[in-house]
Amino acid sequence: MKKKNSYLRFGMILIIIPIVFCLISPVICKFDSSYVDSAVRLTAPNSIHLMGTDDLGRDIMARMAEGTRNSLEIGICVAIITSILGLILGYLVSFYKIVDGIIMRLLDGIMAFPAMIIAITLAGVLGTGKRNIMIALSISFFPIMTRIVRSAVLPLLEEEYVQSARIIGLSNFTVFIKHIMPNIIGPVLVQATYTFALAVLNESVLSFVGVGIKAPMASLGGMVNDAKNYMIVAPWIIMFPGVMISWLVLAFNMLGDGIKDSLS
Amino acid sequence: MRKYILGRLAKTIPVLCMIMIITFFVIRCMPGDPARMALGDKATEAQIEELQVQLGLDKPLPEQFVNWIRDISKGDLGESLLWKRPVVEIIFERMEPTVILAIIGQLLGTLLGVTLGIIAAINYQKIPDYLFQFVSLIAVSIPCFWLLLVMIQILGVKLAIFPVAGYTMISSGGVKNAIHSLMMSGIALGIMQSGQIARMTRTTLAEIMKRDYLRTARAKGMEEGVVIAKHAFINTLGPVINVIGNSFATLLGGTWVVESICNIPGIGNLALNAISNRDYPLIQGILLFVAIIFTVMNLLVDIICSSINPKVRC
Repeated sequence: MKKKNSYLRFGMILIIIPIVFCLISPVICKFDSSYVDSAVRLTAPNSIHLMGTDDLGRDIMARMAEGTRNSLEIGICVAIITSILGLILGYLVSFYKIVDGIIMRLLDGIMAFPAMIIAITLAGVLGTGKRNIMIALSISFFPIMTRIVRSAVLPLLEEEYVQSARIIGLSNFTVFIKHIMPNIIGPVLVQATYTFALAVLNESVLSFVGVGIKAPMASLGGMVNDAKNYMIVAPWIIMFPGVMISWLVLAFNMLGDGIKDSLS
Repeated sequence: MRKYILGRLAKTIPVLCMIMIITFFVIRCMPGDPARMALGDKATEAQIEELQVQLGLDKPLPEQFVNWIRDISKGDLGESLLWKRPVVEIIFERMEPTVILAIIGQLLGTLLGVTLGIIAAINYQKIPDYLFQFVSLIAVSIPCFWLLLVMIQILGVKLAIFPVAGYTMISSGGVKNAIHSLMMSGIALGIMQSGQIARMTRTTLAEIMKRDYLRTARAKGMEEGVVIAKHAFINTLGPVINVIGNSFATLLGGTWVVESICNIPGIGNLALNAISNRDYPLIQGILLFVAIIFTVMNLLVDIICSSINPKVRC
């Protein structure tokens, strides 16, 4: 059993490290993420540029900090939006049968498209910018959350205390907030953590492909894209962002596993 | 069984309708005018109007939708703005590499994932299991494009085992060469797939190993290997096939990215080009195609799943 709890602790430690990195890096590295200095192109990590420079002479540490910040921002916004949407739709779908029919068909339709494909297409069609990326990713991921909320709420509706609450005249909304929500927060939190991980991963794919965060703003996927032509000459340019993306996704997957294990 | 299949087919119809509605509206939700965006800044008003009439954008939205559905039922997905050819033709030309890539990726992922999952479940909560959990967590978390780029450097450039880019058609090089040219991308996709499949296999098999009917078989004197192969494995197939179907979505998404890195002339590359060039008829056609493939895949998975174990209607 001790092994199970260590996922939670380990996940949290892994998450704190990139956050600390983002906060500390403006103090340690004084360069701006878009400051171009062609004289120091493609230099390996040294005492001035702690993570080296890229093909345009920009400091990698500064770009990593901005990219990580963007990824974390997008991740948390998508996780929150999906959770709220999932809860609202899950409530409507469980309590009102007519809404159930329509919305579940719509969700089945959205889930018939692979998430990455919907995200890439929507981001490409809506245009670039963080806001559009968040919209595209939220649309890809809210159906799963709604399904999870629905499958958590429906059995609860059969419980005696919920039925009693409805019989004595409490409104559907009050029943949901007071009696059902405290019991479904667990699965919703687990799924929100997984959604965070998926959002970070998919945002990096979007930026890599070119429909995500565009230059000159730094993004982890975009850094990998810029670096792919210089892999032999300057392997550090591709290693740092790749490891950071994997680290973030790993950390949140681990955290999600940890929360799931501690709930069951 | 037949009743289940018919019922399942019936459930697919509303999903197909929804797919068509969503595909239609995804394109229309773009800010600005599709015709103007497609022609660019230099186009004159007359050219834009002509394109609008050609795309049918001047008619009211419901009428556009009805016309589009009517065209689809005739098998006409429109004409690509960039390529000036029917969309259906372009998609069928480009299908071959993507299909082979998807098959390679899914086969490798399933083999690797199921094998690792079984090994982990047999050694439940011992050292191989902990190692496996760590490795599969990493496999699920690594972005496939980064993994592929690193693999290209090590396997393709330094060791020169597999070709790194392009694709040899079956018609020109034969099946073996075609597969050889796609092997690198297939391995990367397979590794990405194996993580999910391995985790599900491990969880399911570990849970089944504790069941009483296996304890009976062991008490009767059956060897552990035979117990697993004869009794346990059949019951893991259900959830595992289910997760194979679900992970197919990630695979399809992965092929898009992988094709753009390795310059494979498949549907993914086609789609990314279409999106960046704002070629709306082509984007619509590809979305529809992908969604229908995935829906058919899910249908097959459900039918196989419930034919193995009728008690579990997945």
